[in-house]
Amino acid sequence: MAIGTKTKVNGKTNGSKSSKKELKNPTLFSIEQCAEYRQELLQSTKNINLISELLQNFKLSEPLILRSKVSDNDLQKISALSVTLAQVFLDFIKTGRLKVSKSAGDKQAMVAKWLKSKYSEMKTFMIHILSLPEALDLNEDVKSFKIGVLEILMKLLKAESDNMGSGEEPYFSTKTYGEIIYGVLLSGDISQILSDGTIDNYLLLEFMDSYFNRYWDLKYYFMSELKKQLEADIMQLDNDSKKVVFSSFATLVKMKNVINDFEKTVKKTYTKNPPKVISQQTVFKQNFEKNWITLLNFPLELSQYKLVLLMADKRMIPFFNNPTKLMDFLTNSYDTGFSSSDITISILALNGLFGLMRRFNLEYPDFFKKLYAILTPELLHLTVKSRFFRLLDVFMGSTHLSSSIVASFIKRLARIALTAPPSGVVIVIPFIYNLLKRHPTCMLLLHNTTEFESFEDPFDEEEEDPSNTNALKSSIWELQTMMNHYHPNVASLAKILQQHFNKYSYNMEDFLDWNYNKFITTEFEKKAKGEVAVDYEKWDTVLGFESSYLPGFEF
Amino acid sequence: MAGSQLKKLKESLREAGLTGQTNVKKKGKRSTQKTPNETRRDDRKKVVQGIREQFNTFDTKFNKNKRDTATKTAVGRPSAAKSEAEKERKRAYDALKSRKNKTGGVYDRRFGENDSNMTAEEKMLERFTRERLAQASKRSMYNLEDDDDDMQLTHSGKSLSFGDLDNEEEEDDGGFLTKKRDFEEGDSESEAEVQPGRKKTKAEVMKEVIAKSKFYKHERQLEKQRLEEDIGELDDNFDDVMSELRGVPQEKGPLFSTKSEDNIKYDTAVRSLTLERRAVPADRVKTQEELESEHKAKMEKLEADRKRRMEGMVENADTRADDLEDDFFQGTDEEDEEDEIRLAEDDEEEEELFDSTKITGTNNIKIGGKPESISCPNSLEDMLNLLKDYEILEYPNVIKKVLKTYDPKFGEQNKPKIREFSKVLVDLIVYLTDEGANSEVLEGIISKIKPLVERYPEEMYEKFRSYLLSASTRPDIRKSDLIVFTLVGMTYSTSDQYHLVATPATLLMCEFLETTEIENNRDLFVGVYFATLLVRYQRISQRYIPEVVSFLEKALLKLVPEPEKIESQLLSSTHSKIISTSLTLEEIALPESDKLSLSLLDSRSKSVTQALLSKALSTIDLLIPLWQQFTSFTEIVTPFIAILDHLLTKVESTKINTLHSKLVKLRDVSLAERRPLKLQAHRSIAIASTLPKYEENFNPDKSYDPNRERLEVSKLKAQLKKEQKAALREIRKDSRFIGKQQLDDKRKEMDEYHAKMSKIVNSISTVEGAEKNQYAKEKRRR
Repeated sequence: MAIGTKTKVNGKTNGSKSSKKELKNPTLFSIEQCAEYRQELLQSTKNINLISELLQNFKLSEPLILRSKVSDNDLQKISALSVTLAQVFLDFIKTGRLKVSKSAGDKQAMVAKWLKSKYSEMKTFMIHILSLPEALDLNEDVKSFKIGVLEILMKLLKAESDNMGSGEEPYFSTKTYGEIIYGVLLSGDISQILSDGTIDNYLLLEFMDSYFNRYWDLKYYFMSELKKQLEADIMQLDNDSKKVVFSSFATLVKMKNVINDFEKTVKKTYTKNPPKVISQQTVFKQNFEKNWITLLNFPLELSQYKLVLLMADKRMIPFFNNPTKLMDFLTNSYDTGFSSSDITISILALNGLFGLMRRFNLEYPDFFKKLYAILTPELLHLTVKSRFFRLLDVFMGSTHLSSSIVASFIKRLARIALTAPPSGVVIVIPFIYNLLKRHPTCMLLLHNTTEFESFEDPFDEEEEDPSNTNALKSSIWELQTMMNHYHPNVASLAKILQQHFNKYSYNMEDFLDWNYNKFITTEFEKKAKGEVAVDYEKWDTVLGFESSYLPGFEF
Repeated sequence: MAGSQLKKLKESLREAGLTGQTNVKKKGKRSTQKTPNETRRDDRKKVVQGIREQFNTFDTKFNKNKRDTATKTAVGRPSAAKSEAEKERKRAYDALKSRKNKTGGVYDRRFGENDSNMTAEEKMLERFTRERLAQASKRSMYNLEDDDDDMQLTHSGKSLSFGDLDNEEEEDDGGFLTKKRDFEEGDSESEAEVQPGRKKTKAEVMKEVIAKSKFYKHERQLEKQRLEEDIGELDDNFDDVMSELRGVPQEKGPLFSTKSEDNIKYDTAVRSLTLERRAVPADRVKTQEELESEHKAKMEKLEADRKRRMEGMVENADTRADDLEDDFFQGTDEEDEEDEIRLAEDDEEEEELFDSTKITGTNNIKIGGKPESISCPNSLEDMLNLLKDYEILEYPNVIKKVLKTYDPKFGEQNKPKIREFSKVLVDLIVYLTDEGANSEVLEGIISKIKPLVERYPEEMYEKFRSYLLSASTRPDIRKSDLIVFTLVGMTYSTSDQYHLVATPATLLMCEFLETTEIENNRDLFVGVYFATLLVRYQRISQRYIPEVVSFLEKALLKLVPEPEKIESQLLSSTHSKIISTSLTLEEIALPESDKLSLSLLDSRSKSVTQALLSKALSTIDLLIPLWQQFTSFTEIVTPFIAILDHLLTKVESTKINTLHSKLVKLRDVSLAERRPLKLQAHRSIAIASTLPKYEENFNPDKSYDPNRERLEVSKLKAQLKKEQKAALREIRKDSRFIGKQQLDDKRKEMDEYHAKMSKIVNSISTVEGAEKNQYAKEKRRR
């Protein structure tokens, strides 16, 4: 580095003539040098060749960024270089020197062409920088540098769109934007994909916050450009990159409503005079839909799959021109859940399916049979159980369901509560109460006055069709067991089943979101009000002996 | 009577003798008919009134009687009442109006002047009492001569009573008002003709004051003179008196006390004895049987209390199923009392504890050499500092020593120290367990905990709770956690429906059982330990813990060879997750001994895994009696039977075999005994009847409410309502009347005004006309 600083001094004194020397001895230009270059370039058209020197020098930075440690000094120089280049080109764009006009002479056209090629070279390199893999120990400075590069690119995009159009015609530089999108999407790494399927890529998040969510034109062209990219370049990528692209896209559209206040946002554009096409909501929706469909065909991680299912109802279906296109995907997922015994997927798919059913009258064959199949012992151990029970509450809300179906559901729920954590039992009991209240015929499960000489439980637990399980002739002994649950609140809740059914119904929302954490926190919030009872039995020892408290263990 | 109304009227008038010839003498018989003449004007009026009433049927109001139409009973005369009320209002209004905008005036406060109901005598009497009362109330508090001011015996104008003497005494008292009165009296005596009511002039008042002060001065001089005379007399007689006194022989006592030393001692002893508390008879030494029965009674009481807590019958615990979030586990505030009682009781136990040396057996400790220097640690650091000088085996003895030295009996300041110390003891146990101290030391220290918990319940439960709280936020489970959870179970009454320490501890263990994905021996070990411990927690209350069931199944599925071959339909776990893992045993060789050492917690060897499998199976065995009570026993054990079935195909083991056959047998029994539920077998509730109860001789005016109180209340309510209505009606009538009157007044006023004005105008125009005529005449004349 010491040598570098020396040559820098040299460069400064010798001015532009020292450029050859520097090419041989590749070191980055200093900040002062950059300023000098910029001045010279902006002063006269004659010094135009200096651009290629700058560009060459700028390209030297690639290995530095790739290295795990890049010194602050170098980074400052690199950013100075990038800023200089950007400023020069911005000036060129604004003065129209990149335009190849027919009126100008051949020479001028040649210069413009040459400049253009240099300009695109620079852009490509900058986009390349964005997608450079990073060392594991993420350097905050490199991060901010990359964000800076993204900002420069976006500024160039704005300048291009504002100035490069022919005359007063509206113009948006879609090509550049497409490249930027490509760079941003691929800047992520497979390791950044979070457990919920989104991606934690700072460039993407920056892009989302500062550009994507703010300006409608950027959003619109994002969809259309992504569509092109998906058809061409991204298709050729390997599976990991595809996953990254998927997660990035999902992250972009997950947080906010994509078409939020359409009328208002349309007016807010990044570029001055974008084409009128952006105000067409249907086109946007078409692109959005197309992108999703394409992306859904990618090979996905389980978490991503779940993310899509989670988003389907609120973030996808409303913005599709033709939501029924998702139907196949959702029904497939619903079935996949059963075949792979991962009912979480089924539950999530059910959520989306329900939206379709409600809004588009989707008919689903064997609906209750499938629903019944979701009631596996695993259900009550899942975190998505509350989501499922909310839906189940809707599905079972009809009083016109046949009581044999309702009885089967009750019996099955009681059965799976037998191995469930308290948070699950707490849902099941009031749910069953409400069902019994709605379908008094099913009270037979609780109270059957027929006297039997000998009784055999007629409930067929292997039967898949809830209308044929004979549950109505059975009883829910499982919930009687719950009256002896170790948790006092659960036990007393279970006891409602042997009291008069006076209450109209229980509000399920009070019971859906319990978990161990909540139980334990409420425990520790309790204050002592009476004596803390001590056991009067006494043990000689703790472990080891027959007379010990725990005879089966020893120290 | 027939004919028109007019004819009827004429007829009746004639009959009453009001019309027609009045002086007709009827022949043949003496006329009995009263003839209305001038003297009998009143009679005439009455008769006319009667006729009028007879003819105006609207003037009387009849109460309709539904049943018996024959007997009409007149209840009121509305028009008459109305006009009467009108008159009354008019009077009141006029009175009010006449007083309007006027202040002052003469009020008639005479009593009974216009009351015609009273006889003259009554009036007099009443007036007299009033007068007396008025006088009595005006009396001043200093007036001592109550009634006798009028009835004094006098002689030649002077009082014969001992008033002078009294007055003198009063003077000593210095009552100013009294003096004044006396003075006045004296005054009035001298000039009796002076009217008492007249106001005195200033000159008179001043004269009085001067006279008064002169009078006092004179009195004082008289007094002094009398005193001097008395003293002189006494001086004169002194010698006589003394000589007489000297004649009486007098016993001469010593100047100082002559009591001997012994006597003094004796006296003080007696005095102290009287002051000393009377000795109470000592409690008789109880016989063995009595002690036993006492112990039994105590135990029974404890058991009854425990049962009450187990069923959640704590005071105010009106547990409704639906108030899940409510704090329905309310205790009482009798903590303090309990505390004291327990302290008293536990003293014996404490002693017992300190005397018991069976843990180490080495009583002749070296610590005895430096007993005084032992300090009471109040933090774990202090504790370790203290303990570092001793062998690890001596720790329990050191602790015993500290407990003994700082026993609260020996000093007020010891109590807080020991409280801190008992908390530190828990920390020490945690520390030593994690350090891997040997069992004797740990047992020795742990045995000290329970008495301390009984003595200092608040500190200890707070300590345990804070430990549990920190354990709940910690991701890993330590060996010390196992010990602390065990300690909680040993110490506290885990059978309670709700327990401040036991419930959170249970929840924490269940959370572990539920959430842990069994990946290694350690997870398995902790899980099996917790499962066993939870069974111990529920040994009395016999409550169902779903987490234990699901954990045991999960654990067995992890351990058994080729788990994917089990008939998965019967299991309650997810089918997809049943695959062989690193934990899966290829072959099963259950160890002989069923005991597991905590030191193997981190061991990864297969033999430990085998032991854990064996332990898990014995835990199931332990759980059978608990599960057996539930009607869903079949559902609980079916998965285990399936797993054991599978296991038996792999290995020949008597243990598995017995367990399997036991489960199958019990399941069959349970299945055979099981009958459908009858949970809603409540006492049937009567359907609310809408038919009224039949009452003989029902009277609608009467209330037949069986509830006496409600009846009273409704009566009062009805009365109130009636009164209110009447009052409102009255008010409305009044205001209507006033409105009408005001309008009338105004109209009258206007009429008067207009009349006046027109009069004036008339007069003016008359004058004017006259003048005009005059003018015209004059003009014509000229």
